[in-house]
Amino acid sequence: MAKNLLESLAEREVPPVPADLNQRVHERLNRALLVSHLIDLALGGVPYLASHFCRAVGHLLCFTFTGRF
Amino acid sequence: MVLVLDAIKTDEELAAEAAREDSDGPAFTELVGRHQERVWRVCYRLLGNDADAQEAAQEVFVGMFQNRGAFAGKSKFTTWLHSIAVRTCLTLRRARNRRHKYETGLAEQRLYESQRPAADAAGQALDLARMLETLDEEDRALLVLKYSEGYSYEELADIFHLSESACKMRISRARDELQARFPGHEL
Repeated sequence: MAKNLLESLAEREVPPVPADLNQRVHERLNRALLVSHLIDLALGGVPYLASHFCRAVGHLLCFTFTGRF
Repeated sequence: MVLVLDAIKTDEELAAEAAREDSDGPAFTELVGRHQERVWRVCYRLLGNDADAQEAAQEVFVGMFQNRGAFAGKSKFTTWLHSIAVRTCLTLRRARNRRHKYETGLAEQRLYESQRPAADAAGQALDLARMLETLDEEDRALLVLKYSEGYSYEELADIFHLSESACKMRISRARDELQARFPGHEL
């Protein structure tokens, strides 16, 4: 029996851990990982590919109009 | 066999193993399993309802995964994890309070009402949860963890990055503050 109000805090019930908590953690984590991988791809891979693609297009235009590579 | 070995490993060893995993591998899964009960209790105590506590508990474990490389082993793993849990809950509470204040505009009024001396509310049972709402977020969390979950001053000091004496002082001041606001109640 609690002597005062603050000590009565310990007597308050906490519901059991939700059964699907583990599964939800993994789902949430997988979403977070997917987002972070997409950001990595957007910041690293896409600019790299774009620069290569632009160089190729540039060379193609140059070759088309000047006949020189 | 793997399960038997995992049971022997300490949290710190599992954390080091989880830091080497690329995704949510066995070490991370084992850590979640070991700590979900306590993390859930902390989240529920600090947030006060199922939905927010569940949201926070998920966020805590995602935070644990994302920061697993930052655990240096200087403190106990549980202290480190509980400090993530407390920070997450305080952030959620602040966001919830801001949203509530913005949506209703009544929060200040409620706070004012709950701060009125208990003489105003004589004969009316004051809810302890509402009394605690009048405190600063961190002071409230210190009191809740101390009295509901039985954390020691040493653990609280590690979790809140305070000295032990500062912890004792803040808890004592928070109690005095509550006592001054609600003199009719024995705290």
